[in-house]
Amino acid sequence: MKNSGNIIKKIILSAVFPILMFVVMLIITAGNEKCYINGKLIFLSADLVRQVIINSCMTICVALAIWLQLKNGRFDFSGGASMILTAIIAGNVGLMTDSPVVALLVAVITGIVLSCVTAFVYIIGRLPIIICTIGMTLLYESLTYLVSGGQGIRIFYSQAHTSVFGRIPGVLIPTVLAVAAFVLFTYFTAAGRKGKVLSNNQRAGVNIGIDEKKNVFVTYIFTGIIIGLAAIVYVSQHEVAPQSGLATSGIMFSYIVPVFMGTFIGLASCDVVGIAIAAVGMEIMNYGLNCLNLGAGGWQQIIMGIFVLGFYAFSAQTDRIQAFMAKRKKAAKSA
Amino acid sequence: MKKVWKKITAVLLAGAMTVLASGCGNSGGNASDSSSASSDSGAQTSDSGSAPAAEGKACTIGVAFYTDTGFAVDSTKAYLESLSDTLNVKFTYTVLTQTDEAANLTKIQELISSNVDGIICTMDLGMTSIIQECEAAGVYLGGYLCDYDTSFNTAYDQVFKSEYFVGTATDGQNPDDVTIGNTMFESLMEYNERNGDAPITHVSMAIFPTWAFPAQQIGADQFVAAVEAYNETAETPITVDPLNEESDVLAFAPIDTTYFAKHADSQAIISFAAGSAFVYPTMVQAGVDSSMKLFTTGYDGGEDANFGTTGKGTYQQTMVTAVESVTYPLVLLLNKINGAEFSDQPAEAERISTAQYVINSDEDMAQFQKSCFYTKDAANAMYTPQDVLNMTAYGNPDATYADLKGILSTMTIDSIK
Amino acid sequence: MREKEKVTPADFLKQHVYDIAAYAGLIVTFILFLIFSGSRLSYNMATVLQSASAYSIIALGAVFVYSMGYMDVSVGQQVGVYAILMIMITNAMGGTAAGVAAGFLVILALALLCGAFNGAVAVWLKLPSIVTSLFLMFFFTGAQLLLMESTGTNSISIQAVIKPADRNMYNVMLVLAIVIVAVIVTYFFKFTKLGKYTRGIGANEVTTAQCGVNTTKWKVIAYMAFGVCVAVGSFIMLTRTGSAGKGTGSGYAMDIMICLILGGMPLSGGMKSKVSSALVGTFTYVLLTNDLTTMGVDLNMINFVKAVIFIAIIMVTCRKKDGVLPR
Repeated sequence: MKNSGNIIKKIILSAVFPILMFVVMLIITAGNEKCYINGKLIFLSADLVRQVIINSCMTICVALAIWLQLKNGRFDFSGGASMILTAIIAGNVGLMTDSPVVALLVAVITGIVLSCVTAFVYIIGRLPIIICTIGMTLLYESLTYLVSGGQGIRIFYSQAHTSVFGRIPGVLIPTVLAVAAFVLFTYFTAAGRKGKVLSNNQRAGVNIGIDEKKNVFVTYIFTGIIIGLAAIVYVSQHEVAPQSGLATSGIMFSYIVPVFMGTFIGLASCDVVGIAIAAVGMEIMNYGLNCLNLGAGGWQQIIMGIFVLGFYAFSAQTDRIQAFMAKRKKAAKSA
Repeated sequence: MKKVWKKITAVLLAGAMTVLASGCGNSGGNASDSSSASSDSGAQTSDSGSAPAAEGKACTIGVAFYTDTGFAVDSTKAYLESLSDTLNVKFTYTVLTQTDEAANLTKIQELISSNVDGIICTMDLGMTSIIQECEAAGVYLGGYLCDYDTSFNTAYDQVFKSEYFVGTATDGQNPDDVTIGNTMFESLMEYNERNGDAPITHVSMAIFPTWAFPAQQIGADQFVAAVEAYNETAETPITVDPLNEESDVLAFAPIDTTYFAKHADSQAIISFAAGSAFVYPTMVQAGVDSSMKLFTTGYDGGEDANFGTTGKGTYQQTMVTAVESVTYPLVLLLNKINGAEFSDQPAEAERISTAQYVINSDEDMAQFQKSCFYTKDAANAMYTPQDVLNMTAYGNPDATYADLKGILSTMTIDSIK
Repeated sequence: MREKEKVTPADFLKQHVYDIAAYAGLIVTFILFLIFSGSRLSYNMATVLQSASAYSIIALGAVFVYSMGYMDVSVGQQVGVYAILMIMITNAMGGTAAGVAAGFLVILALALLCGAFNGAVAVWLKLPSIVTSLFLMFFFTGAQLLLMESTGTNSISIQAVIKPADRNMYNVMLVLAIVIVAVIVTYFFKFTKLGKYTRGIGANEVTTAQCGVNTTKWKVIAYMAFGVCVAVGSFIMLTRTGSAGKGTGSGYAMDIMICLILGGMPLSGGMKSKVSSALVGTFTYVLLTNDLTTMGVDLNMINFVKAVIFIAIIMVTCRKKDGVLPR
């Protein structure tokens, strides 16, 4: 009984963020005349639900791919480039075969292959992960100019029958698969558990006999699956142009905020739930900002920056807050 | 020790790759030889009709595009390459940024470094420093797909009066010569005539910011004026949502989905901004691509799948500038390089509006699909290499500037072969 | 007395393999540059100098930050905003020399403030310094957009003369600027506490702190030193075109990181950090880009060739020999 109470408490705690975000954005938009059309508040339209679901699914997929590597102690810069290259290849194959399912399969396979190449170069080259993945990002970005004649992929997302994985309800399939792959790896494979040891104390992990190279490979295979799934959602929602100059890291960075916020929110439950909830909260904020016409341009960037810093600053103090709470608890007990 | 040698070998291999890579492209060595020869002799020949000049000197022209991929880029390249042999010109390409002057200057400097004799440039950013660079290196520059409005208004003396700037062919109309608003209105009328049972009676608009594309605001005003004039006598008047400065002016990012909530009754978007890249994706995302129509400009590929009565019929109009308009700066550059000049050559460089392909019916689309722009095949171009040679002052003593300028006004959908 | 150890050529190669690789890259790109520049060699040299000037000055300053094992992703946007502010202030003061001076002082103050922010706030809030620089990146991106929107144009130009009319004089000015900054940075990095402590922080921050070094103070000073170079670099960049816009400076953060990596700078910082990495890397990077264009490499192939070369160089310079995979 106590256990189930705990779970409910955890879920409520985790859900506080998006609810809070919704209430804040509702108050802000309701108080702004720009957000009314014919006396109706546009923030409360059905479009809110649809956009938040569609955009959250995209965010969750990319965020999980980033977090899977980060959780294992590696900051993989090349995730964005792998996703864009995968999206271009899968989109073109999907268009040729006229089948979104084939595109999804090709995306997952390409994602795995590219991730394995990254892992291979990392292991063989014994390079620091940031430097290695910057190199791989440059390589994958350059390949976006060499596949499909440097045209990227345009009309995959704009045809109803090919872009099913970019809209409701199709978008939920890759998202659920990505979450499943993440959960399977983290909680149900030996590699996932060993990865945890390695990220906490790499040298100790290796010393107790964990084969680090194998672990890296397995982690990258699962990352590849999630990147492939992220790519299929991406190419079903956007046109994808060839990229250069590490621009793909910018695409990836745009999804990174929910990763960090998610892991913090996830402290109340678990990281997957945290990331999903953070993604929903962020998308509610974005939708609200769009209603206020602040969704693009200078102010959006500044608001985003303040938000990131504020959130980090707050989450970095959690140990201080926890220590303070523990102290108070102790004091109350002794009294 | 073995490992050390391995590492050194790797570095040498990297160097070797660079050398090998040069084999993938043009042979720069030849280009440099030929262009140095041409710049040496460039000063000597000035008599336009002299016999050996008929074919023109071997030279290199650099083309600086505003983007690295797409129909306009590919078809321009195809067209230019088809002219290469007859005109004795080698073309080399680079891509400029759309927002960074210093980066653009570096790109132009690199082109000059690679021994070009002339440059065709599609962007007006950092132009005063770029022209200074051209003057210092003795390289001529012409414009294409660009109205050079910033330079025209703020640095006319430095740019348009420079003897190294030959003029530009605008992408559509110059800001002082706008017709796009009327064109949009006519396309809307044609649509309503075809669809008398369900005419469009409520539209909204989208433009790029005035500081970047002043002609679009003028076009929007022109469109509103045309609708108002029509409404005075029309049975079913058309409502135009006034331009909302915040939601309808696209800061080079796709329109937001809230656009549709803000223009809830709109049946069509009149997008002066490039709609296929900035409006259509959001329409698809919001699921309004079946219920709303889009009248816009530009062609990026794939629009024909939902054009007119095809597919979802979202697109009802688009406008494209013919790639053959690059002929204007090309001929002017070749004249300069060959030391020739038209008898009626104006004293200062000009910017010339270009007639566009207005595609607003299935027939127009079918016709457009035969163009050099769409097929990326120079066999479909309006002009053969010999035609272009005949437009030059050195290739044809009777050629005039008026004729060259005139071709830009003939590049309409009907002129496609 | 112990006999001095004899260094064999093999040992020498082994000890200096990173330097050799970095310098070999520079030499190869320079040879290609000489071959493919053809008749426009002198023009081309000026081009390379102009492209490399701002990069090398900012990269020289970045040595202080990178030697601590940190990085700053906001450089590009800072450069953009500083260039725009400099133009606005100068023009507001009638395009006078006083305006230029005032403009420079303002951006210098801002750059120092950003340096202090990156150094101190990160410590106070217990944040990784990449987070504060991420914040500054967002902030300056927004500021750059808003500043340009306020002007209502795509590009603004400075009304004062900020570079010599004579091209040769200008090139001499650029060389002097690079040399002066390089000498000052080398002095501070090699012969003062600043360089010693930043390298120490990079090698092992805890140990450095336990040796009685106030690491927070030196982090702030290192970031501020970087800030000075960013301000000077922004001014040098502005002299090239005299104008700035929304995208000015974009990509600088990544370009500088790539320059330093190509020059053999370890991203983890520490004792192997060198000032020469900044110059060697910058010129290798700029020469490589120039080479690929003059060689006529196909546009779509240029990025691929660059990527392959980059990977080949890091395979040599960044390889770690630890028992565990490096992170």
